[in-house]
Amino acid sequence: MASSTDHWGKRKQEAAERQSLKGRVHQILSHAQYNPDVLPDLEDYVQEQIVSETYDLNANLCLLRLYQFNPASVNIHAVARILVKGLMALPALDFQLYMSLIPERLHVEEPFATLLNLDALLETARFKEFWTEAARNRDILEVIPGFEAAMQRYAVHVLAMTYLRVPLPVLAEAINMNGPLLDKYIGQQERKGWEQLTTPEGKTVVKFPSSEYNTPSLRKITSDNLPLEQISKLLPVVESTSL
Amino acid sequence: MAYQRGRYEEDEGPAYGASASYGAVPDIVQSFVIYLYRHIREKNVYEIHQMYEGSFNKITERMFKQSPWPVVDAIAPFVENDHVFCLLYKELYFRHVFARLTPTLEQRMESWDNYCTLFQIILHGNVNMQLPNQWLWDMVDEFIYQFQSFCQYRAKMKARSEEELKQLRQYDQVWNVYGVLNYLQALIDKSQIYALLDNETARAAFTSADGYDYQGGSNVLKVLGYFSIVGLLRVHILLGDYHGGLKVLEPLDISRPGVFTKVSGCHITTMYYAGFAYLMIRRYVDAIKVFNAVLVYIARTQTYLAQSPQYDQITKKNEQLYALLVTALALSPQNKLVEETVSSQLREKHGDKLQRLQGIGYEVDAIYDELFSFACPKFITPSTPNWDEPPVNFNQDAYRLQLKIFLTDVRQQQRGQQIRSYLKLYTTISVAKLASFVGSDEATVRSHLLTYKHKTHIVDSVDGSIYRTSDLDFYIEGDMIHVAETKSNRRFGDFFVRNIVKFDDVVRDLEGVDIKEVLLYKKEAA
Repeated sequence: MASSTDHWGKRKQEAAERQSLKGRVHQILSHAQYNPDVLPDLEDYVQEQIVSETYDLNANLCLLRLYQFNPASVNIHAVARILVKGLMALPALDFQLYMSLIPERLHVEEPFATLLNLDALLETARFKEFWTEAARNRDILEVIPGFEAAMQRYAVHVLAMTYLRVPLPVLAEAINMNGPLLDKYIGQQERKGWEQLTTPEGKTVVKFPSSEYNTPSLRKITSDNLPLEQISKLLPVVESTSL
Repeated sequence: MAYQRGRYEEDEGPAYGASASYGAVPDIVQSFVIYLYRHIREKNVYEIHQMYEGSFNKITERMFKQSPWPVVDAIAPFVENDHVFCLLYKELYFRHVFARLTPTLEQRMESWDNYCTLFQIILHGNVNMQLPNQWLWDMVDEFIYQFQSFCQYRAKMKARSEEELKQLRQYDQVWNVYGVLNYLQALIDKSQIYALLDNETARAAFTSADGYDYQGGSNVLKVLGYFSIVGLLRVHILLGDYHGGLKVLEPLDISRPGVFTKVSGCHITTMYYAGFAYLMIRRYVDAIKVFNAVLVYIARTQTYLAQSPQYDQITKKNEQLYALLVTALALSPQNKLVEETVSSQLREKHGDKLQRLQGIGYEVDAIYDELFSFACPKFITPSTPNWDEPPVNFNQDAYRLQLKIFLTDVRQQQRGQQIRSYLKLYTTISVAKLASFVGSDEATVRSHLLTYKHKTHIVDSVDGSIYRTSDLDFYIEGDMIHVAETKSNRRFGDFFVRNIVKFDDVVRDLEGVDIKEVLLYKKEAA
């Protein structure tokens, strides 16, 4: 019993610390972005994002900027972790945003050269090569929980924007799954509207739910609706007229 | 090489001793400072502006084309040794040195000290002045220019003498990047400008008063804070932080007029840096809209701008903006977003390039490289060098990094461009047939098609919104590609909103006109 309360007490304390670290980072981002003293907190926060599988682009950019201001303080491990998180943020181009702040001489060093190569493969949708390369670099990638799932999410995102119906082998290759694992994965997606079908030619395809990206006719013609931000431009006019 | 050349040469020039012109102050300078001081004390913004824009440049042309203005100690007795006035005078003095002469390291340092003292006083609320927006903008603009120039100066380590290196090392707080950023941030925070911009009523009042305070207060802190937003945008971009820059700028809302559109230099700078950031984060449609808007503005106000003392710089920016517009259009061919005045200029300046950029290969890379290098901002390395190692020049590092990142991205997009040109000819085409056209296998073509989709749909990682930058839509069903070219309907709503706001501006201007004065003027003219 005693040990269990201790355990809970510890968990609670850790959670409180996490909370306060998050709070401190929030403070940093709004008030102390350009202060070298906040570096340790931001580095801890990178680790925190990995443990809790969360993500904060602005905090990471802030840390890389501080490294840029003082290259002697660069923590290579923290930078590498941020970059892996950047890959996981695909399809957003966060990885590229991070690279823009990292001096070019580091780009040719490991693990950065490998990460750059992986990013290029992902950006150009060469998934087969990507998974081969990723398998060879487990030591960098697998320490980051959720990496594989994030990459599969990205592959699916790009496929579902491009295909209404994707040939099964193309899907299998892109998410690096086969056999029962693949069947299970597709089964799990059925509630999201995926359907496995057989074409008249006898090929198996997976149908994605229709969206404006894979079914252009679904795109809303926006010519007649005005977004709120447009309308808000008229507010000062209306106000001054009524005065 | 073209890249390194600044507005001003940074190589060693004739040394200038601080006491060189101490002594007799020419009459014309005496009366200039006396009157400027008086107008500032009387808060006569109109007269201050006349002297600042007109007299200062006229006197410079006449007497100080190649020599500095009298040092501050020489003119202080004429202005009751007024501390703030002396700081303002020094601000002008150093700006003139940077524009016309070759600043020495001492001058760079003194100028930094002067900005620090001036900003400290303003931040502590101890000024009760009303200064022209133009001057306040120039202050922020010059502050960052001198910072950037200092970074370049320091990075050309091999061109520095031993004595200079020693001093740079000893006084490493001078033009320190933390200092620069924190001053800008402090001006923004202290002026509470974000809260003001967030409140529609306060914002409208601020805009319609052009930022001036007609209640007898001072406009200095508020407007400096406002311009510091643009300043901070610029510094972020110079560091290669595009997301950070755009985030800083957001509250300003560049899609509608504001105080920033009232000062030409500020308007052009804001749009240039914002557009460049959009280009780098692949939001080409936004980039094209921003470039188009500012180029239309420059074309419309050409005759007015030609009288500005900064006309040379505006012309240069104009050329750079056209180069950036070509780049954006090559990556996202949407000419319908560009207005006629701009597109005819564009054809004249870069017509051949647009065509050639549709291809693939080294020649295309070279054109992108050339356009980027000509038009990009002067990126900086903000850190101090490692003083214990032998001196090396690192003034090109930051530029090379950004160029590399841009060209990598562009290269990744070139296959998609090629495929796009084929797809435009079909409504349906099989993957196999397309593969045979581009001389490639099916798997590769499928990757190209995915790449094209990915690169033309930018996802914002913070809020998940998707920005589409392509004019061509397609989707694949199994092995068959279906193509649908977008017919964009004219956005009437947008058109009306813009013109209602414009009309309101015109009406307001007209209401401000004193009809009697106009008639009188006409009579006199007749």
